[in-house]
Amino acid sequence: MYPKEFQNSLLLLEQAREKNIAFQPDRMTASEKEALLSSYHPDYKKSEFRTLGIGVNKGELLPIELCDILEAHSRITPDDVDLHKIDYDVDVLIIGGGGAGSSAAIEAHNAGASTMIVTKLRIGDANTMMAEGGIQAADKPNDSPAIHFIDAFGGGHFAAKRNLLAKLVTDAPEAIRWLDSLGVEFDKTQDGTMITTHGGGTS
Amino acid sequence: MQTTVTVYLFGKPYQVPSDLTIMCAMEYAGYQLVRGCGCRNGFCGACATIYRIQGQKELKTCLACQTKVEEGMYIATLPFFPLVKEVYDINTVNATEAVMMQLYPEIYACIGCNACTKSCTQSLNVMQYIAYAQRGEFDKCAEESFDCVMCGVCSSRCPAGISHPQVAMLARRINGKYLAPKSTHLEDRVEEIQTGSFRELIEALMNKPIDEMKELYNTRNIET
Repeated sequence: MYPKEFQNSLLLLEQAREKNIAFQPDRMTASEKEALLSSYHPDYKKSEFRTLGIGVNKGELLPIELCDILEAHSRITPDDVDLHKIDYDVDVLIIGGGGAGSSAAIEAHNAGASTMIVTKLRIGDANTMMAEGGIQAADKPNDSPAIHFIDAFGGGHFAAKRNLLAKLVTDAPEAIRWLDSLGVEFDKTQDGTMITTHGGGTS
Repeated sequence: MQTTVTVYLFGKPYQVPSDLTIMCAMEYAGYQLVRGCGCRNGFCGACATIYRIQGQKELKTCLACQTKVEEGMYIATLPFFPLVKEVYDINTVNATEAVMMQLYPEIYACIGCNACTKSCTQSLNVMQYIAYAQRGEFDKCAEESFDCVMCGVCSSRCPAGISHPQVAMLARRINGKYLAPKSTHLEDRVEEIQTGSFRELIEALMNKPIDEMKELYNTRNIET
């Protein structure tokens, strides 16, 4: 059922399986990671960046694709936009109808604001519902918001605003409880313990 | 040489490479997909599609991003299907068997034709999960319907006018909120945070020099 190239590839995999099962990879050190990433990862390779030619960030080294977008002609013709005639006037405009956008809309609405979501497809046709693997919050006895803080700070290249990150990690368990109360189905054992699945960057 | 097939998009024939998905074939033919195209990976359910192979009687359904073109495919897309979503407040909803009678009574008009199951793009046993919903077995309905991507194809085929994905969504929410076991560790943790149990630990991280933060991160204990 697979094409010939796939079958050859599968054969190689099967031949290497015993060796692969026996292999126990060590965790890489920070410098080993850095070396690997700077050789192969587009976010790290120097050749994937160039200097932006225009705009407020002119002169900054940015990913080539981002430069291309920022330097391209706008898809909006300014003459087509007449701000004297406003089609919708709301207190809170939310761009995107995934988990974050929908949560924001619920909270804004509950707080009495007139609220509108703009989203490409239906509400929920977004990355949240494709990210089925899990959601991060330090809600187990062997975990702590401080550990979550360190994970996220390192995962974010040590660039995060720490007061925002502190809010994220200390609000996270309550956010999970809120979702649980709305009927979101989390994987749980019989006694209600949530099942931990490690994702990238967690510890 | 690249082999091609003839497909009919909204009735008009196009020669397209035979290894394309229906979605890619539409773009190959010059359609710019604004609606009816989302994740392109079979998860968002935005690209429900109905087709018939020339010369065959059976009407088939699929997601356009997950299905290869075939010779003589007559294709119509279903970028939106008018499902009925009843408004309810999950906090006050009557989480018993009667709720379905109140909100989605049409499920009791199911004639058992099984067209929903046969049309499901995710190969779910749709008629079975509707049967569970009818009987108020919301945990089973939730389990049986869990992989639904809400493409709406089942509802497009239903002679009883049932909005299967929305019925299942209600069952899953009732299951999540009222039937699944409570997570006491979650309650405990929220309580601990509210009483300030982690304030000192977090405070200690707020002004730590970057090098020390890097050291903490790079030497942290990672569960396996």
